[in-house]
Amino acid sequence: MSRAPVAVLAAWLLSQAGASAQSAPPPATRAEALEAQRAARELTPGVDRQTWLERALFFVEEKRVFQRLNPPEGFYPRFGSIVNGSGFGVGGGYRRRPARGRVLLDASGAWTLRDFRTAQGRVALRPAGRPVELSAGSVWYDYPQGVFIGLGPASARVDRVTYSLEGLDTYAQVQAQKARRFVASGRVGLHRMTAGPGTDARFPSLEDRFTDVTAPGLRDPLTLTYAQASAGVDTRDQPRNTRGGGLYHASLGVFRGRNGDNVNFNRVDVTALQVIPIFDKKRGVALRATATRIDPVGQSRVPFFLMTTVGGGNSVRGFEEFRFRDAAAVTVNAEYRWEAFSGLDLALFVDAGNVGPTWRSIMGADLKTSWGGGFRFNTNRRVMLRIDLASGSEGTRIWARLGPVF
Amino acid sequence: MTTRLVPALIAALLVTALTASGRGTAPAYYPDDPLPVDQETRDAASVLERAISDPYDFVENTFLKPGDHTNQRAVNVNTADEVPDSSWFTNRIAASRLTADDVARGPNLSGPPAPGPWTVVSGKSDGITPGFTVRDTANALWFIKFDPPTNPEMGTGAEMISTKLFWALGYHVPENYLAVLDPASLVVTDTATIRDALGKRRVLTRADVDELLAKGARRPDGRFRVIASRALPGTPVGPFKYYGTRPDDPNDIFPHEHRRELRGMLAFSAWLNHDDSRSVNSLDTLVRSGGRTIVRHHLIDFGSTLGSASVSAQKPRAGNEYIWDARPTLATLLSFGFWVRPWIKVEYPDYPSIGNLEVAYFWPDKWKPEYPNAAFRNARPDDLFWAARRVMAVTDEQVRAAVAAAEYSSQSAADYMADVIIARRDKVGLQWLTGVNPLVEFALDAAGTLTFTNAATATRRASAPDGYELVWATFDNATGASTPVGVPVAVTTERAQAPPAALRGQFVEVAIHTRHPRFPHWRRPVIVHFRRHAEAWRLVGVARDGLD
Repeated sequence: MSRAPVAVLAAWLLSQAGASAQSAPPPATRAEALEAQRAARELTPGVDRQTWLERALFFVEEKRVFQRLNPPEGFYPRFGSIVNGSGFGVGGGYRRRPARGRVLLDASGAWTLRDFRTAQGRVALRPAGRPVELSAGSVWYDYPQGVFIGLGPASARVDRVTYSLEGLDTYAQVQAQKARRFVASGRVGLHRMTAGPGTDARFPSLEDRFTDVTAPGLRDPLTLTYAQASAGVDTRDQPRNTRGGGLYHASLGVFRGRNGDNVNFNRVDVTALQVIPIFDKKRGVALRATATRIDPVGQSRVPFFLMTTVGGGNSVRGFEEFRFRDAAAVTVNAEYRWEAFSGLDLALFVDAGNVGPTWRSIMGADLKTSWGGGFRFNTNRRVMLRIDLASGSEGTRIWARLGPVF
Repeated sequence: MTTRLVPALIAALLVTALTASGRGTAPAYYPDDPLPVDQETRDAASVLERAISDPYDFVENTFLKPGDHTNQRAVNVNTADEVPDSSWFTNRIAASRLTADDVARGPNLSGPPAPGPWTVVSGKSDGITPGFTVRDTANALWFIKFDPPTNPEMGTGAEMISTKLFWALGYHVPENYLAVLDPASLVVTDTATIRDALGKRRVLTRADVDELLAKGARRPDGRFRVIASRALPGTPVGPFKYYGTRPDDPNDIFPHEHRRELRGMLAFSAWLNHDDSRSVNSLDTLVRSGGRTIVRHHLIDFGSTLGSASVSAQKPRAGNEYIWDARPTLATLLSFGFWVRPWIKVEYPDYPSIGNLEVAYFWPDKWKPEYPNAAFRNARPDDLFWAARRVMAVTDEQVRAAVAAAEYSSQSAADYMADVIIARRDKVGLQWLTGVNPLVEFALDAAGTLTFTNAATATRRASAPDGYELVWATFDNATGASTPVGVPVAVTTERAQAPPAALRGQFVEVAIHTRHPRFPHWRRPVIVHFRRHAEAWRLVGVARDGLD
């Protein structure tokens, strides 16, 4: 016999006993009265039932679901975009940390809804007791729906075309950090890439609207060797959810074509970022300025897909991704951020920027501007999800990104 | 018969049974009222272990408001408005004259870890506080916790002080000892385990031990000051909830959100800044008592009390705002952050061993735990008055004895800690001893002389009232009806004479109103009942009117 019928029977017997003996003496003492309540409760033992939400949260907790998303070793999933404009993607990887964690072996791949694909492998060595990391690796990628809207600040949106870019970048790198503030890195590599027709059916393919003059580098397989060096000062309190401190960083790169490719240029990138807390770190103003410049060597040409861009969720947010493209670019962002509660910050921002053949040409021109507001869902140390609504001269855009803008 | 029909039918039958068996004819007072001890009379050996999801506990208590929130008197108090001793609570500070030494000793009856090396049973790498489980040479099981490197003595000090004070207040708590851990004396065997980042249990290595020790505050001599918490007696069956009852425990008949010692814990938690007063910091164990197995309910883990948040100094938000608090969030949101939460401006003294604790900004009725607590939400002025009496019963000397047990290396830090606890205690008294008509300690002698005490004035939390107004009555225990005798009597002292006509029956009732210009709500009477006992009168009932 199962428990329920027994309990019903017992309760019925108790009720009958009570009902048939209206004159039965009530409990004589408080202790007896409480005992009667306990006796009745004992007849109907319950089971501690969990709600579906509790079971789900238990599962997440017990199975360490969040830890499994980025485990220190073993298989791990990849979510999110591969590059700006690639769309949402998924993938996976595998990493090991032999030699007591001093060596990292990592391989991963991802595929996005827009058919962007990538695969990469990396070996990193962190010598014991030294703030240096040596690494080497290779990244293969295939981006079939690149965005090109012409060169220069006056490019027209109606000229938007699609192109593909496939390449393999093999590199060796050293990164160093001293006193947690001074950062420096160097990188050398061999980068092979090929641009071709795009597959985004909404737009014409690049070769249908542009020529090798208006879009240099189209259809020319290219192999570059390069060397880059960078240095900076990083005083940010939390790089992934900065509430104070700054980053001042400069990078110089030398790119040279191989196999007779007439593609030789130098590249300079400068970033200045400062977050100024107001009263405390619950609110503050974040300022960022970036400048990039690509200088061809002699009569060399720079392929359009290696030029710098302005526009997008991390740039001037009122404009679409890669909206403006040229050899030089400048962006300036200012955000006022404030904490609504410990899991959410809000922001108001203005962005400005432009492109041109040189920095000087940008300084003398009108800047593209946008403004807007956003939500940053965060933990204390990192922004998990950022949603920005931005308005510019070409309309209003919503950006959702897994991470901070800067 | 469907599954849902079964409990409904059982409930209906039981209601019938209980009604028929005399609830409707129950007297107001039984002969054994007021009950001093609520005995767990049923065997609870079949209670199963359960776990509570930490995130769910937050979500449920923050957004779902679990439990019954009817405004009603606490259901487990006896007729004298006191909490009987039980598996939840033992009257200590207000029931007996605890000495400072008693408080300093607290629950520690078994003694500290036996001398000699500790054998590591497991490591704790996840959760808020890293630590170990070890066995001493007497085979006793201990949980070892450290201070964070940034705040030596902070977590261990808070744990020591709060353990002793919560014990004195009446709760079941673990035996916690300050100890010194020498890494060289830790024995790591092949049977010791630790969970890796993905929760998989594996053999613990010396490297794991070193990694865990690196998260603790190391003393200059290379050793660690730690809390050694003796494993609670009995079989652990998981935490209790602050609402509902444990379905498989036959003795658990009072909804937790209506238990006074859990409602009143709001006052104790405010006093000691126990912002982590939630289910995950409780533990039920099955123990043998009176020849049967019962569930004993404990508070555990006081690392996030006073100025400590276990692994760092307490955040300024703690105690001032819930993790999710809609009103200030909305205010901040709409004001673009220019409305500054006032607690952000609070300044704390620079005592790393204390953390962030102060008294100037603290105000008890504004204090909040990390997220809502169903029992705290139900706390009424009479619950908080009950609690405040216990808080105020803790003397300066007892506070200093508890602080001394923390063995701070800085005397000025220890003095600051004691001074702040004492000052916060006085604020708790000022807030909640005055929240109801604060009359207590009623006695009626054979000659009909009534005496009582004004708890607020006796502890100098309020000035003397203008006077008291007493309405005497006879009381019919069978029907609960009272019949006034004579006219209201006004007195200015805490002493009055009962009219002879009121003393002729077996029961006498007196309703006492207090007149105080600053506390007009004290006019709500305290209704007191005495029962004739031989030639004397014994207090059987105390009710504070006007709260329902």
